[in-house]
Amino acid sequence: FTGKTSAHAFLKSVLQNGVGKHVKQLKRITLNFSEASPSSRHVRKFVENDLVEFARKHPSVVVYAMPEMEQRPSVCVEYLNGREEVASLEKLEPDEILQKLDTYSNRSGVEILKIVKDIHTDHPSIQGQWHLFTNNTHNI
Amino acid sequence: MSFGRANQQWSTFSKAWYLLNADRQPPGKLADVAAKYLMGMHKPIYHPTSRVGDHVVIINAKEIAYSGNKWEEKTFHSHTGRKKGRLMMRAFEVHELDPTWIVKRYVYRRLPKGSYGGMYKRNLFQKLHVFADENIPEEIKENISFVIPQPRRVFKGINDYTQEEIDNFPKLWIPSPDFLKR
Repeated sequence: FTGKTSAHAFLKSVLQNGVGKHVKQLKRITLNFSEASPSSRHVRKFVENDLVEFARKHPSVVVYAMPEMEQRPSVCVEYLNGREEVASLEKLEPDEILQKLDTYSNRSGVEILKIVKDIHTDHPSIQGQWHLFTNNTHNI
Repeated sequence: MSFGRANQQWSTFSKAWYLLNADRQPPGKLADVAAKYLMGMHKPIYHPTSRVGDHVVIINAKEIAYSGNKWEEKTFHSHTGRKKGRLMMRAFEVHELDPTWIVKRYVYRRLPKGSYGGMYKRNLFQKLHVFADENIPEEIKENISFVIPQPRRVFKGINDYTQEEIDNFPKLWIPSPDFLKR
């Protein structure tokens, strides 16, 4: 019987980033939202008020705002390692959108997985593993 | 006892054979103990998804003891599914037909029920071996390595005393020969 397996990986950083000079791994942000629909009203407010300040704060990041008709609000982020992620921005207030973009800009671009550790031992149990005869008082 | 690294798996997960004496034991308590060992719940490695149960051999099943008047009052029922297909037998009648049936029935009802039970219950039940008396087939006898303590303390019956022990027992008073007649 095998246990349930989930995606997991070892802890790593991209090319030892930050040991010398730190290079921001976020390459591009694309904000997709609608020009008129009410589901995109918070994103429109964010683009009007906070987006320019965000772009000035992160000069190495290219920021696109892509208004189109009849489109749900979403953000597409691309990283230097070639990965890209798409997330919905529905029902998010402008400050929550800013928080989300900050999180994306601080990430290394590596997929978020359960982190496992590379641990090995030749002696898993000092007492010895349980077997039928340990503490068994029912002997004939 | 120590095992090598590879043999450790075999020694941890191997199945043991337990002997349980049903002499003067109530069948409900017997079944509680037997079901626990069949499921492997006496092991520290027990998990419901792991099949770690052991074999249980019950001997002297014809000597089980009911309390009260259950041999005559307790009834076992079945129904064929057709009209007037009801069958009802009292406990002593069943016991005369098959001395192992009552113990088997009690154990089977103690095994896990529901959607998880099902086939698992039947697989567990195949590991139960019930015998009416102390005669066990040789291929089963050679597997047994452990004994389960009896759930109920066995007292010495009046027929277990020898005539010498009865004669030497100190008597506080000697009844007259016509004591029972009075």
